[in-house]
Parts: sequence; structure tokens; C-alpha cells
Amino acid sequence: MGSILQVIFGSDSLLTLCVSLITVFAITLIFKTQTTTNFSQTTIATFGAYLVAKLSYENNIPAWASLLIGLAVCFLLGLLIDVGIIRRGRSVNAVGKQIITMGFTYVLLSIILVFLQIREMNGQIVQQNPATSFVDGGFDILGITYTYNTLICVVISVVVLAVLFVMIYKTKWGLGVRMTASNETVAQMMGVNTHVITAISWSIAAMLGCLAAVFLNNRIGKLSTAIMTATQISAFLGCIVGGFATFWGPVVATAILWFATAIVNVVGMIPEVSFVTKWQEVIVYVIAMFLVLLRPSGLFGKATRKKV
Amino acid sequence: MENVRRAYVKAANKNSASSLESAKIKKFFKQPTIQFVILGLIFILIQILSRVGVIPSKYVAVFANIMIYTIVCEGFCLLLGYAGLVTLGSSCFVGIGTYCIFFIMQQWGLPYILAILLALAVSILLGLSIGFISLRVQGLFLGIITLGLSEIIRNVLREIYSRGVFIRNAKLKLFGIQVGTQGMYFMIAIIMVIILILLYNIMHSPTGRNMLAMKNSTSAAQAFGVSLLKYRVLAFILACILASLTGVCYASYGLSVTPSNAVDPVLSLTLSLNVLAAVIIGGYKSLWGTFAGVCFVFGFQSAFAAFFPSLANSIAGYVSLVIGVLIIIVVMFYPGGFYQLYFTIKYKIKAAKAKRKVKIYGFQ
Repeated sequence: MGSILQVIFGSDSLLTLCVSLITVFAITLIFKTQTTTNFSQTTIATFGAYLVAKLSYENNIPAWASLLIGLAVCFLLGLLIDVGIIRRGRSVNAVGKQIITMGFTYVLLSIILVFLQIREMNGQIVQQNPATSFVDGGFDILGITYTYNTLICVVISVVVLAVLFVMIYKTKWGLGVRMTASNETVAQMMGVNTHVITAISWSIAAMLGCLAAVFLNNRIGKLSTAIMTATQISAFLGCIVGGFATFWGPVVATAILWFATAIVNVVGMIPEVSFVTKWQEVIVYVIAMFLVLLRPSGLFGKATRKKV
Repeated sequence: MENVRRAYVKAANKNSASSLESAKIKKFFKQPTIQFVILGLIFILIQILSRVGVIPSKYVAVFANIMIYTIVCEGFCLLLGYAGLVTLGSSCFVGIGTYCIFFIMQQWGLPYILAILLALAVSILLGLSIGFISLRVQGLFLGIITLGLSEIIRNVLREIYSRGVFIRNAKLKLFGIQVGTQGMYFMIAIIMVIILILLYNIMHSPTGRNMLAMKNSTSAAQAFGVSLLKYRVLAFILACILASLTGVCYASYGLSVTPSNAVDPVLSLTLSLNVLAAVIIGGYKSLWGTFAGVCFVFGFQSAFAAFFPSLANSIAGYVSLVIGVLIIIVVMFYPGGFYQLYFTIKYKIKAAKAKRKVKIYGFQ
């Protein structure tokens, strides 16, 4: 029983869930305000993680201070992306915007490769990039081992997501986001400053990305440019399984997919069918695609009727 | 002024016979088929020059790379530019071609030609299935679905055979004739030319026009009797076949694939993004534009790796920066890419020439 709980609710599994949920929320926020899928979300995240790791490893700045600086830089980066590029391309259609975000992926990757590689004192690039660790040590609950790092990451994720949901559904800014998501032109006509809404959305999404990548780096312990690739794919699948109609739909769908992965891992503990563990990603992706084909508008989305 | 005008007319009449000849030659060379054949001949000439010793043989690989990736990018050009369908699964389609040829030839010992045919058959099945999926899921989401599908296939391939896939092309035999690296180069050039001609004809046939109609408005296209199912499936099948063919060429040219490597040149997301970048930067509605995009995205990188091997890693970051900035600029300001830029420059030169003529002769 203890090992089953360890597989489902262990440190790794919980951190993966937190990273996925944060990423999904960021992608949903951009989709709602810009009507495009942000392919650079995870590259912005990786950029943030590299910056935080560089600050803490090369300059010996404490992890929490590096994280705060990283979040601030990502906030500005998000602002810059919206004000400098996305806002100027308002006439570009949704697919065009999606391709622009792929352009950001290239630009940010090059910035990482050129400026943010973590180096030793002698100038050599560190092969095994270090994880950003907040506190050492751990504890046991119900036979499940947790590290303090995991606890901090989970608490921060829960608090951040809860605050964002409250902001979206209970504040004036949230009302503005929902109006922009519904119809940007009408929102402008009603006096909503959509420029501010989209700029803040990009900034929040960038900060969430940074947070997610730092947490993932904490779990994996090895930073690379491809660190967020698997998260990006599962987050996108979570988004379309849940449907972009609501903010909570993709988040719930991602949690369902995470649970499905955990169940596959639990099944893999049976010696006769241990091979399923190898195929866990394939099984979960196939389930996700099957769900999308069954309900193209998402599990929690509304089917739109096209009028000609 | 009158004297100048007379001199101009006299000179024009004198040259009329020769100009007729040159007009005929110009017309001949303006035929797309001839242009594509010339392109193929240029590539073949590069290999011949390398054999004679004029060009170092290591640079030939750069041109081989351009030809190989042109095949997949032109398929994507048809898919995006004409059918209006987005896919981010190009890498897995290419990987399928590579793996099929490896397994069928190296593991099962079947002949090369049969391996190619079976690889194409698998890609047709894949194209067929994605074509059907595209009827349910559209637009942005189709890209994500193909990305998911590509990830499934990559995982499956990795689990089936995690070691590197490498084909010794010394063993390749086509109709009993041994095909080495050089023979393979010629074969890739021929395949590329055939595909360019084929795609040009498809794009300018009723099939291409129906795809364009479908891209611009699915409702209007359906109202005019265009079957969405037929043309979407056809577009995906063609794109998958071409991607698979790229994989076949890639493996046959002696390049290896490592599925466990996250940044593998064939199976990673990077290839899918590079294909998209090449088509967008070059111009997604034109075969020549796409070719220019391939030269820029793939040629640029492999040329740097060949010319400055010691700087290849440090320059990769800057190449990526240039590509990214170009993608953003092109989508925002030049949706037609290099192809549109070419026509803008051509038009401006023509206008400047006409202006100069008016200034000198007083008329055009």
C-alpha cells in the first residue's frame, strides 16, 4: 500500500503535477486573451530556470533570491513580448501568432545557448547543470518520503494557482480578462483596456513558466534546453482534452491525465505487466487523443455550431 | 529629343530578329519543369566537381542535406500553403521512413526497393489516419494533435529499438546495381526534381485549386462540391509520403538516427520546428520560396558545421537567433517570405529602370 501511495503521491509525482498545472494555466491564460497557443511558454520557462540556476551557481546568490530575480526578469520579458511584438501583430491570424511564438522559441533558445550557459570558474560550461535547491532534508508521512523542497514547491504552486483563480473570478482585472477572452473588440468598446490585460497576462504566464521550470529542475536535478519538452506536450494535450472554454477545464483535464499516468505506473508494479511502465507516456497520450477525437471541443468545452 | 527617339527605334528594329530568338530561349527557360531540371543538374554538377577535386567532398554533404530536407519541406508547403493544414509531426513522419527502411532491410533482409515501397505504404496509412483526424480537429488544435501523435510514435520507436539506426549504404542495391554515397546523392537529386515537378503540377491542377478553396473557406468550398475528406486526406497522404521519403533518403545517404537523443536531427521536435521555419521564411505558397527557406534554415546550419567545424557549437546559438527573428519579421511584415521579398525587389528594380528610361529617352 505504501509503495502504491509513493507512486501516486510521492515527491516526483506531486512535483510533476504542480509543474504541469502551472504550465497549463499559463497556456490557457495566453490562449484566452490572445486566441493562440503559446509555443514559447516552455522556452520562456527554460530561460527563467537557466537564469535562476546561473545566478545561484555562478554568483552564489541564495536560491530564493535568485528565484525572485528570475521571476522579475520573466515578468519584464513577458511585457516586452506583448508590447514589442504581439501588440504590433494584431492583424496576424491565430496560426500566424502561433508561428510567431515558435519564433520566440528560437530566439530564447539562442539567448540561453549564448548567454545563459552555466560556467565553472575556469570558463568551462558545466556539463551537469545544478538543480536550484531551497532547503535540504525531508520527512515521512504514511510511508511516503517527501523532501522539504517538494513541500515548498507544492505549497507555492497551490497558493499561486489559488490566488490566480480568485483573481480571475473575483477581481476587476479578472473580469477584464474574461471580457477580453470573450470578445476583445467588445471589451475595448466597453472601456476595458485590453492592452494592459494582455500585457499582464503575458507577464504572469512568463512568471508561471519560470516557476514551473525551476520546480522541474528541482525534481530532475539536471538542467537542459529540452527540460520542459515533455511538459509542454502533456500540457498542450491537457489543454485540448479539457477545452479552452473555461480556465479550470484544462487544469482539471491535466490532473486527470496525471492521475492516469500514476495509475499506469501502479499497474506496472504488478510483475506480470511491468512492461506497461515503459509505455506510460504512449498509453496516456493515446487516451488523451481518444478523448479529443470523442469530444473535439474538450471534456469541459462547449461545442460551437458554425453558421454559414 | 526626336533624334534620340529615332536612334532608339532603329536599334530596336535591328535587334528584333535576335530578340525573337532570345525571347524563345527565355520562354523555354521560364518553364517551371525546365527550371527544376536545371536546379537538379546544378546539384549533380556539384557532386561531379567534387569528384574532379574542385570542391572538397565534405562540402557536398551540405548540398545533400538541402536536397533531403527540400523533399519534406515541399510536402509541408502543399499542406500549409494550399490545404491550410498545420502539422507539427513532420519529425515523426521522417523517422518512420528511416526506421522502416532500417528494419525492413537490415533486420528482415528484404531488398532495398521493397523497403522503400513498404515505408511509403506505412506513411500512406499514417496520412490516411491523420487526414480523418483533421476532419474532427481543426486549426491550432490539429497542430497539437499531430505533435502528440509524433510523440507517441517517437516513444514507440524508442522502446522498440533504442539503439542508433544506421544503414551502411555500401550494401544498398537498386535493381541489382550497387548504390554508394555518390550514387545515393544522384538519386536524391533526381527524386527532388521529380517531386518538385509533381508538386508544381498538383498545385496548378484542379486538385490544387480545390485545396486552396478549402483553405480559404471550408463552407464555400463544400458549397461548390469540394470534398473536404478527399482533399484533406490527399494533402496529408502526400505530405506523409514526402516526409517518409526524406527519412528513406536520410538513412540511405548514410546518416544515423538516435531515438534516445532528445535533440536527434530526425526524431526531435526541433526538426518539426525547422521544417515549419523553412516553409514560413521562404514563403509557404511557393515551391521556390520554400526551397530558399530550406537553403537558409538547413543549409546555413550545415554549411557552418562544414566550413567551421570548431565553431559549429558556438555558432548554433546565433543561427537560431537569426532564424527566430526572421520568423517573427516574416509573419508580421512579409507573410509571403523570401518569395514575396524577391518580387518586391524585382518590382522596385523594374520601376527604377522604367524611371531611368523615361529620364533618358523621354518615354518608356
